[in-house]
Amino acid sequence: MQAGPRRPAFLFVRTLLPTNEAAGSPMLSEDQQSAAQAAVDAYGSENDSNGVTVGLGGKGYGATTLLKNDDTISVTFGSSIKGDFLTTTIGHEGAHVDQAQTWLRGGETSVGDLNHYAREQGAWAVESSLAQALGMKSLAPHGGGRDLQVWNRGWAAAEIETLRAKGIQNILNYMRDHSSDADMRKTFSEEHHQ
Amino acid sequence: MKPLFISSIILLTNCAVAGAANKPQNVAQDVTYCELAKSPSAFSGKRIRVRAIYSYMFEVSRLKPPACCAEGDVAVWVDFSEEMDGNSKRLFHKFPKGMGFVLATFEGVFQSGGPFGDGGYRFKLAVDKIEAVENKANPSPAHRPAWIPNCEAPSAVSRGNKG
Repeated sequence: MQAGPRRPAFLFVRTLLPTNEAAGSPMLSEDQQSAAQAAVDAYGSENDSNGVTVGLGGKGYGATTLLKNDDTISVTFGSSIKGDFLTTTIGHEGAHVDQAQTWLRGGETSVGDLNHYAREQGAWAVESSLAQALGMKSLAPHGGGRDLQVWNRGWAAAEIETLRAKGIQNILNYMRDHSSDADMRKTFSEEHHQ
Repeated sequence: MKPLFISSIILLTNCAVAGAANKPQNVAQDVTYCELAKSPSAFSGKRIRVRAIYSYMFEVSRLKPPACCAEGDVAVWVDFSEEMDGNSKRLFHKFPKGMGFVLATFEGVFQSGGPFGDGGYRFKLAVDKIEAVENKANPSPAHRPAWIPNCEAPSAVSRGNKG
């Protein structure tokens, strides 16, 4: 991991610690822990030249992970993201870094050639797990209502998986609405080096 | 010595022309969304003014057509400059928080090449001026207002092509 614009690497490494801790929480199942840990590990360690750059974008609550033409990966966080929301967002973007690295390792036609629907489903599942581990009251994309919650502390244990899946599906529907179904269906191989 | 002198003049002239071509114009070119969708590369490096819907949420920041285009659509990522003028900043801060749709006229430099955003965008508009906000909302997919066209529906183009 390297420092990107306006983000000294050592500050990010410090910010990564709560995400790393949450990923190993005993409140999560083994599968949840494994997915969350893979997202954290994907960033690598400071100055390890793994091609991952982390930086701050403009004001706002957005974030992006970009697989560049030279196969390096750039992660950008909106400067308004703070606290537990930053911890979970780091996990979300880390999941995207992991997805891109997996595809790069596997080759153009590998099973890792995911479209945006699949990528977002995985990343929101990790983000939801981290919110659960942190004991957050609730978690939804900034500006989203209850229908977009991927975690709520008040959910009954028996309903957690159903409601988590419903929240993630609703987010995918919103993302399709805000971009397009055609673009959401595009895979890494359809976008990279095109 | 004379040929070298002439060569130098030609070289300097070429540099000046190349410099002018690379530098965005100060005066924005008015472009309809559908013109942009039809041949986006034609506007690469140019300063443009376009009436469009800004659509955004976590990991999405893009333009959408104010009316469906027969030419199809183009994925244009949107960034807002921190150097926007005061009026533009005021308008920007009144956008729905976190996610929404805003129909307005946007001005900025259009870029090609990419990838931009999450990797799915070959084009980007770096907005430094916002004018004439006509509509804004943060609706659920089931309650989309009429001013946000659904251009992926089968009969979308026949429902509007004003661009």
